[in-house]
Amino acid sequence: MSTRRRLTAAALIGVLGLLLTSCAADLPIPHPDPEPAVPRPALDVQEISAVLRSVGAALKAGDAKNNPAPLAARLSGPALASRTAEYLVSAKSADPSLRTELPVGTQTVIAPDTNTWPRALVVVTEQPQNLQTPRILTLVQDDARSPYRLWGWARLLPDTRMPPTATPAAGTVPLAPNATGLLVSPKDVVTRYADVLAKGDSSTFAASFAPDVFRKQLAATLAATTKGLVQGLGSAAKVAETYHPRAGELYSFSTLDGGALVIAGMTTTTSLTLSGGKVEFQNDVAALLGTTTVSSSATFVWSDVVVFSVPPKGSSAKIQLLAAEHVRTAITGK
Amino acid sequence: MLRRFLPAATTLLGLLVVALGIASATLWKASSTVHAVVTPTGGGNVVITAPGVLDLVAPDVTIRASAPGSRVVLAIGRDTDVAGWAAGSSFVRVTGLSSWTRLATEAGPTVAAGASASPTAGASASATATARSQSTSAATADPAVSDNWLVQAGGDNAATLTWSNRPGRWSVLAASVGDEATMPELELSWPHPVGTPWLVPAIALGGALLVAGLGLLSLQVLRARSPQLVEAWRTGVPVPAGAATPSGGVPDAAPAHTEQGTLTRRQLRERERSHQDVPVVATPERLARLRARLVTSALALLSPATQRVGTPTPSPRVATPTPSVPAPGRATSPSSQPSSLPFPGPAAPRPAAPAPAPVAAAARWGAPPPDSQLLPVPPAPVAPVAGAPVEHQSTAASIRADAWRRAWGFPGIASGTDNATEDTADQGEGR
Repeated sequence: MSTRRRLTAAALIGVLGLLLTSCAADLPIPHPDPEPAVPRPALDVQEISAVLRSVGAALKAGDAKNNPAPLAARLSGPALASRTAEYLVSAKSADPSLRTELPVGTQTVIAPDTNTWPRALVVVTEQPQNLQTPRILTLVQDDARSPYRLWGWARLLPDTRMPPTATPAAGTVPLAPNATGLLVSPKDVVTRYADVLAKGDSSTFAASFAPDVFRKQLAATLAATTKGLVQGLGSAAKVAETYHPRAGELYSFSTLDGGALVIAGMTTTTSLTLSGGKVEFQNDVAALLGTTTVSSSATFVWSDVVVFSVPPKGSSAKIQLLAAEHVRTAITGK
Repeated sequence: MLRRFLPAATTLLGLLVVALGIASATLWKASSTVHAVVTPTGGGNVVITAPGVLDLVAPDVTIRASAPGSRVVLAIGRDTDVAGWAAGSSFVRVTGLSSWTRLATEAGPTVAAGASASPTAGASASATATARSQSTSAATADPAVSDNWLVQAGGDNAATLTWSNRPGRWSVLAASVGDEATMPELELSWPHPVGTPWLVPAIALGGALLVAGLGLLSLQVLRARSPQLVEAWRTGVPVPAGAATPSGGVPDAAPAHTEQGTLTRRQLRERERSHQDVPVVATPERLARLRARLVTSALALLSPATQRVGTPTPSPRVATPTPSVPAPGRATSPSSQPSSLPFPGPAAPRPAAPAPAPVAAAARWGAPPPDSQLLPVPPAPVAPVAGAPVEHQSTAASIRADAWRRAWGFPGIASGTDNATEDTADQGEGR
């Protein structure tokens, strides 16, 4: 009997214990999704639209009064410098068409697959209302606490075609400046192009670049300037132009054909040296210069943005300049 | 002793289990919302969550952050973006639940105000970027201006945000913004569908216990009131005083009302007087057998002592030495019941009962019971003679005789031992 009693007691305790313990369930522990092998796009389509709207709003605010103050929140780098210069000019001449029209509607978006900073977002805009070619906008987030700012824009050159890129939902992997697997690494593309600009066809790298309108125009402008000065001042005037890729301003993305889209900032400096006589400037140049005549020297600083399509390694294709912008941001002289 | 209280105890236990089951589904039912709070202390102004915390309990979460006296911003973004933003400040990271009402945290690396705020992942950030983040790393930095958040909310003193989980690794960032910003308090609330897993099992188990207990209890009472009926049940014989004719041996005897005419007036009276004639209506054999089995096993659980105490045997207890009969001997009385009916009707309506004994009894009813000589001498000691070793026939006969005596108001006699009679019954059933 005693064993039975004991058994009964044990059973009772067991039932009660079960009832009581059932009231306290285990605490859940976090089970996050695994970290993806390739980071997800840093921005989704909605966020990109929001960023572009903000940039558009900042531009609109600045454009309204040719006032660069509202731009700082959403513009940086060559874009800020260029726009500020454009405001100066267009304010002076009261001609809004002197400003580059920058639509923020998109045709193509390249969203970066990255977890790190800085991050760059590239947008090919719709065609502007003035029927110029679409722009390639590059927006950069410097660090985790910064907003995306329009770093630079470039106009698509005629007869060029954007290399195929992944959808913004899939995102595009950013490339390091020394990325391999390309005909030329992104970093070298820019330095070599600067060399080609400086030396023309005599550059050792000239053969690897397809001819482009931008290079032709730069050369033509330089030639025309030189010709005009020589006509007026003879040997007293000397003109030189240099091209320097800007450090740290290089954004590269892989394309679906294995190549790369390379966006770089470059500074073009045009130096004018006079050993006699003087040169008179008008309109936009005068606005930037602050005066109309110089008698010894003048330096024109251009902020350039160049966009290349770089073929993959082993390709017989040439590096193609897709888009470029060349905005005079400063003129000094005396 | 334990057996005597078994029915009551079982009933009570059944009630208790049912009550516990109901309580588990009502009183003790967990809240349908899980609120978990953390009130971090420290110099920072940012609280973030680790990936996976937002959908810890349920996919839908309501987030509330409060910091009296300052503006509060809540934002949800990719875990790397949130961590990158928070890296610029001293922050606290919520890693999970420490209880159902508290969030577990760990302190992020302390960032002295104005110190270099290099984002964890932003090692490649340019010098200018670092310089810029330095200028905004103070407690005044407002996460609301960032482009990285999927959703955000802001407000004075407090902010609330709802979020439905989606694929990916998401974190929430709560920051109090202002010169004297303090650590915001973060509260996460999830709807928590609470099941009642114990309700049905507990009610089923408790109900079963309750039924068993009540059954035992009523059997106990019934055995005390009318042991004959119980015994009739136990042996599986629907017995009663139904049929008067010896032809009752015919299987599938006609229902009681067809027999009405054959009943004597006394029999009718008897039937009316006692509910024991319920079984007059023939119980289907299978049911009777089931009942017999049930009652037998139930009786095995019941204390034999109860019966001794509580059974007012139909016979007036003559001043005989009966009370002094040793307990085991008296315990046989239940088994002696089959024929101790008010009127020992010779014919069981359903003679096909598993136990052939009653059939035999019916056949013999005409003759006086062979044991009748025991009648005047009720002493117990005689009974053991009819015990186990004795062949069943004679045992059954003595039982019948006893029943007969009781039925006629004579003092009952104890015959055989408990074991012996039970054996008889069991064997009879076994056949």
